[in-house]
Amino acid sequence: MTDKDLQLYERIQQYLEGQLQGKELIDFENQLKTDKALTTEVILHRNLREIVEPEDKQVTQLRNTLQEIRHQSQKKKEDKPTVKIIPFRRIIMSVAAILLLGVIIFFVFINKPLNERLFADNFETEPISFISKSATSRNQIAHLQQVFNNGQYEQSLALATQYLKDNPSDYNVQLSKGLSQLNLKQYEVATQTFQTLDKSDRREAIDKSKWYLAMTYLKLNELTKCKATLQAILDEGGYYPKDKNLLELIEQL
Amino acid sequence: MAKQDNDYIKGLLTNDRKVIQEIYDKTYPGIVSLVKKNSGVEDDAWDMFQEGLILILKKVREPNFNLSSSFFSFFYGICYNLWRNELQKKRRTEVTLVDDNKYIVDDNIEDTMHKASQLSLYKEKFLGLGARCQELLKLHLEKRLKLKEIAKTMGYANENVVKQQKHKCQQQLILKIKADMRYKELRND
Repeated sequence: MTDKDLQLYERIQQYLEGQLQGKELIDFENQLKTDKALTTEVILHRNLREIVEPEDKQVTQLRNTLQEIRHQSQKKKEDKPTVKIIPFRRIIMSVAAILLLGVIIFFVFINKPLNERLFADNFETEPISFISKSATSRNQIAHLQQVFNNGQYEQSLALATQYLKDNPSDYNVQLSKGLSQLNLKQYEVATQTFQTLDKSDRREAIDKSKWYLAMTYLKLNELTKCKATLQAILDEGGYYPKDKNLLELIEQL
Repeated sequence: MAKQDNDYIKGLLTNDRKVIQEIYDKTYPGIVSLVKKNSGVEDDAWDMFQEGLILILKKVREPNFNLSSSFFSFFYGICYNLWRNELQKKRRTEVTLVDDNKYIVDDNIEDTMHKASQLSLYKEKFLGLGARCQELLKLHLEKRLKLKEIAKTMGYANENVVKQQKHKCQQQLILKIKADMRYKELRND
């Protein structure tokens, strides 16, 4: 670096720091107007000052505000619930599971099994008119008739069982016993009661016992036995409730 | 009511949080998209956004500043150029960005970018100086310490030595700048 260079840089520095005054300043500014190289040097020196100049207050404030905005924006992003993209396969599987559940609900809770539906459609406990054969049993029979026709099957079963000990051939009481068992969901013993009645020599007892036996088989979901029993009623022209269609019932089994 | 361009400039000058938030909301997604389309990541976009806005703040403070396009076109143009310059610096070759035709050419943008490029070059060269030179120039230019104080702080014998050393460092820096090919394109001839 020559002394001339040093002197030039010194003057540029003085100019930029506002230390040139009066004639010195006027001369320097006049030189700047005509000397492009000097202008370039002055700009370069001025810019050099900016390299190391600390950021002014406005810039610092703006930087801080921007940092705050970015921080908040990132926080918002993190707080947002993430939207999961559910794979198509998972959607299909979910739909299938819902459909399957629907089918299960339909069959378990809505669509009753065939035997249950047919039983509900065809079974009714008909009132029984008991006939008292002796004056001593009149009260017993009257009581039995009352509780049976009132649907108090536990009591009617107890009374019928008691009564049949002394009068085992009373088919009406036997029938009430079988129906009480059937209503009390004692299907196996009801089957035995109706089968016993079916073997009796009383036509009326056989007819009704066959029908209720068929109903008990239906409840037990023993459809083959039920169908055979109903077919026997049909073949023999036996008893069945008048409002039921025996042929249709057989066809459904 | 829609804001006028001057409202954005005023908001920047007064550090109005609402206005700056609005600028962020309206422009940041576009800048992220531009940078990502052109080999960058979101952090790069944030740097461009921040530096772009600071450049605008500095530019609008100039006494003769007059906005010749919309504020947002101006801002996008600045960010576009900042990112292009950044890529050019990395790749050391001319870069054309995707969406090149979307950004307007504006005197203000060119002027702002020119100044920004000059400063970027000077800073790069300043950081290439030795640690003693950097410290001396900082004490002189940033702290505005007198030569006597610098001599005391840095352990030089006297003011004259500091003066010689300061000129040497400045000359070194100027030579480094002038030796760079970019200087010829950037100097104010």
